[in-house]
Amino acid sequence: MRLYLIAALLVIAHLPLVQADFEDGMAAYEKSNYTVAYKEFLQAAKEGNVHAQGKLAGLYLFGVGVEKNYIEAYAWFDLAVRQGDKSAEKFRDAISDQLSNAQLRQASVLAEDYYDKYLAPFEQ
Amino acid sequence: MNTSVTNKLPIAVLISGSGSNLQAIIDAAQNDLPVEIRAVISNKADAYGLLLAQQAGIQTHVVNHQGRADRASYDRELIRLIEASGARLVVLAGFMRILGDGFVQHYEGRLLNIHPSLLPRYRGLDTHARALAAGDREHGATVHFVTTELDAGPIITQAKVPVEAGDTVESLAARVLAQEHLIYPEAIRWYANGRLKLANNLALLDGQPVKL
Repeated sequence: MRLYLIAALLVIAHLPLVQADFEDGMAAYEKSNYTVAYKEFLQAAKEGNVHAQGKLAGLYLFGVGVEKNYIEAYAWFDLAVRQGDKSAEKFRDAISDQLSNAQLRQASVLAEDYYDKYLAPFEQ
Repeated sequence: MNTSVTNKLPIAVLISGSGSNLQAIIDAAQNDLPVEIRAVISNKADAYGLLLAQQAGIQTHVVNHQGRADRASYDRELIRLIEASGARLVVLAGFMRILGDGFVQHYEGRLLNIHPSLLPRYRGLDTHARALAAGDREHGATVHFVTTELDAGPIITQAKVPVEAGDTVESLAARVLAQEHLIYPEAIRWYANGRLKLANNLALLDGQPVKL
């Protein structure tokens, strides 16, 4: 019981920070400061922010603020999908069709690893 | 144990979810499919398929990947359980975890999967929505040998269904699933009867490459 309380307090204490990272990312993005946007979205995405995950995936997809990388894009869209983002689903699936068999496997493994690391701990 | 049991192929089934294909295999095995399901293994403790297995008196195991140092140790634990069960064929039935190269190579030619699309179309996830979005008139399911390439191993058999006007993901999925429940036990029967083999990256049925 005490553990749950501590966990709940940690989550509550954590929320404004996650939100701040995402909003900092959006502010930078809107000023076309894409390198900063990438860093902020990456931080918020790792903290489980679904919007940041979708934005981050988009940056990887189009090579904005970071080198284009379909495998990273697939993995981050997949995390957003697992949190209920329907538009991320369409992007992820479209990427699947573009990847070779080996790349799709690599992307699926990366998505699982990210899920284990960044989402699963919050889903207990 | 009576002697007929010893003529049956021992198999292990890996699941993550509801286990409807598992149930189809259990039903077929209780009828005339010559297999004995020695173990059902899930990566999720709450997979409904575990209950189906327990109701059928089948040994179940949960192998959770969380807290494991790496994928190789996860794969080794799966292999240990499968070997201990005596299974000679491993059947993936909605197992939603990518298996490592080591696992796949260990079971080369003895590892089957079913995928809800007409491969090579729609590798990966969300196959029904993608078939609908593309306006396909035909959709289906594929049984294949698993190789280290995701959803791309040699094809054993396919079932085709029409896509009908007004289909939703759910209605199309249900139509495909009904076919899965027929073709998967059939492919397992071919294997159990010694008719199905993997050779030179081809699925051979009675010594001939399968024709779709």
